[in-house]
Amino acid sequence: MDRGSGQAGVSLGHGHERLRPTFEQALANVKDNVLRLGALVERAVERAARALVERDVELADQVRWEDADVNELQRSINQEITSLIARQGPVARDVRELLALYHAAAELERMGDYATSIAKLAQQLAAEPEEPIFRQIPEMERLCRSQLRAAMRALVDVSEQQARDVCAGDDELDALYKSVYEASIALMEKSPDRARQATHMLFAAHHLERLGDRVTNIGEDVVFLVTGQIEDLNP
Amino acid sequence: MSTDPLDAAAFAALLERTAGDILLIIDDQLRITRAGAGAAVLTQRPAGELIGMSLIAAFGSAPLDALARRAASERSPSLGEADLGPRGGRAFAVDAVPLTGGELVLALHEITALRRAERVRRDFVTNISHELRTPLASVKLMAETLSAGAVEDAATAGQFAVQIEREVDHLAQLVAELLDLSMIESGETTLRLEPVDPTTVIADVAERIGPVAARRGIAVQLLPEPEGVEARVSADAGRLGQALLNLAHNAVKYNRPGGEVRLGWESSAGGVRFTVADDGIGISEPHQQRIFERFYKVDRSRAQESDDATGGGSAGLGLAIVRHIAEAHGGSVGVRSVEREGSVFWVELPLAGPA
Ligand SMILES: Nc1ncnc2c1ncn2[C@@H]1O[C@H](COP(=O)(O)OP(=O)(O)OP(=O)(O)O)[C@@H](O)[C@H]1O
Ligand SMILES: [Mg+2]
Repeated sequence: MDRGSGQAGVSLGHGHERLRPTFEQALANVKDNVLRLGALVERAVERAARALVERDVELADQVRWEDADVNELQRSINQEITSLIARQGPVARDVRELLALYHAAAELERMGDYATSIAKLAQQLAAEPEEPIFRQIPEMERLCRSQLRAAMRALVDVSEQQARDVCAGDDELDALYKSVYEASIALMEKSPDRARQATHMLFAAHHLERLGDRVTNIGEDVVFLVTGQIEDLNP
Repeated sequence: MSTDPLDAAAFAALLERTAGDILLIIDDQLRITRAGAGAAVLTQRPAGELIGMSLIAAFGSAPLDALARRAASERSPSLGEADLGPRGGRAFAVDAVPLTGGELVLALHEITALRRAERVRRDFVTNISHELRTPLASVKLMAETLSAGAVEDAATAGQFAVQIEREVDHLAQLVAELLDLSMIESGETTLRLEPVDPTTVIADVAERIGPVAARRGIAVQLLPEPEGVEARVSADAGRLGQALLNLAHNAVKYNRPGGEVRLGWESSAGGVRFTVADDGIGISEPHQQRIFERFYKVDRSRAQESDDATGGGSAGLGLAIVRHIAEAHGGSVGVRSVEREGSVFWVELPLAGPA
């Protein structure tokens, strides 16, 4: 398994004729690492939700284990960014890009934590008598991931329009969360002995809803990158 | 770029080996320098746009990126798999081969269909063993009863011999139909459809479930057939019997002591509706939506407890098979149930056309 080393993209050996990477290259490398972080988080979210539905304790364990990669990669992104700003004294637009990337990486790291929390819930639920997972939960997970993909693509394309579109799906996510909330209350009232399952599922949905908010924040980072304006896209 | 003879040869060999695959060339910074049309489809970007893009930006796949980085840093070929495409819905085997100039060739070979076939094969084996287990359990049960003394009683022994023969016939038929069943799984079902009398089918199921029900003290009742209706369903009698027997088996297995199983049929909008009713534990609303899924069981511990008594295993496949069979006939399945009161399962099949 790849351990998500922060060295990615910097000249891969045999580069004797290569000088120190230019600022442009270094910036591109930072961006690639943020995209890597996004890909790792997307994978973690998919697997955490699958572990929940399939009561797969081992898969949940892997998700928890691999969160270390996410944290490590974020740390190395932070280092690259701070050292770039300190050493190269970039122009305003580049600083803006670096700040946007810095912020996006922080959001992604938090999203990794939510995936880890869902994996923990999956393990706790697997220890309880089986109760069908509310169908809204896999739906929320799919929605979250497709929003995350769209946000990463907006970042690749530096597209303000795409970034704004990302946030459009957020209402649907909120509605799904509300419906999970009602379903868990109903389940608790009807079968008090299933209260643990109900609250666990409610928490999982809550994490997914928060994940969606974080994706929206990345959309805001892209808008900031393009326009220099800080906007709340999820009022 | 790298035109030394070794590279050219290696590249030609790769091309040969990967006809129909998606080929990419990336530089030592993992940026795409050449991309085929397939890559454009996969990334939903025009091929021209991909040139100069990093692998992670174009594909957004952590495993693909990690594989290419490994091949690039170790300067040796690397193999792996990655789920790519808009929602990661297409599976690929990936070959990363470094060229001497520092570039990498990535060959993406789609294995989505292979994965699906593997899953079908796995499910198929599980399904088969499930289908074999129920009749085997009945035979074993009767053999045990015989050796425990029933063999002395000529009437019972004779009746058991007939039953055993029937179950063994059924097993033999199952084995002969292994091939057919694999087709149900792959959606290319060949059913031997013929006009079938619903009353005969129901009577046959009642007879087959009888010994198992008796053993658990469950009564089996045949509901009177609808008056003045001469219905024939279009069905493969063997498969239909198999589906209803699975339902009857559940009705016994999830019943309460002293409960009853009622088998019958009625005319319905869709043709004929076969019903299997019980006075058992029932199924709560949220579970009702899911019990027809493969491997789904309401309560694992409870399903296991009832195993010994009925001899059947509990794989959570019975109802999945029922649904398969009903849908292959162009029919449907359903359930109505109240917890702690009982359940009614039904299979609805279309009528046979006028002969
Ligand atoms: N008549 C019934 N009454 C109550 N619960 C039922 C009934 N029939 C099925 N169920 C529930 O639905 C689940 C799925 O049934 P299904 O027949 O598919 O699997 P199974 O009986 O557990 O195992 P097997 O593969 O041996 O049939 C069961 O585990 C049981 O919880
Ligand atoms: Mg069953």
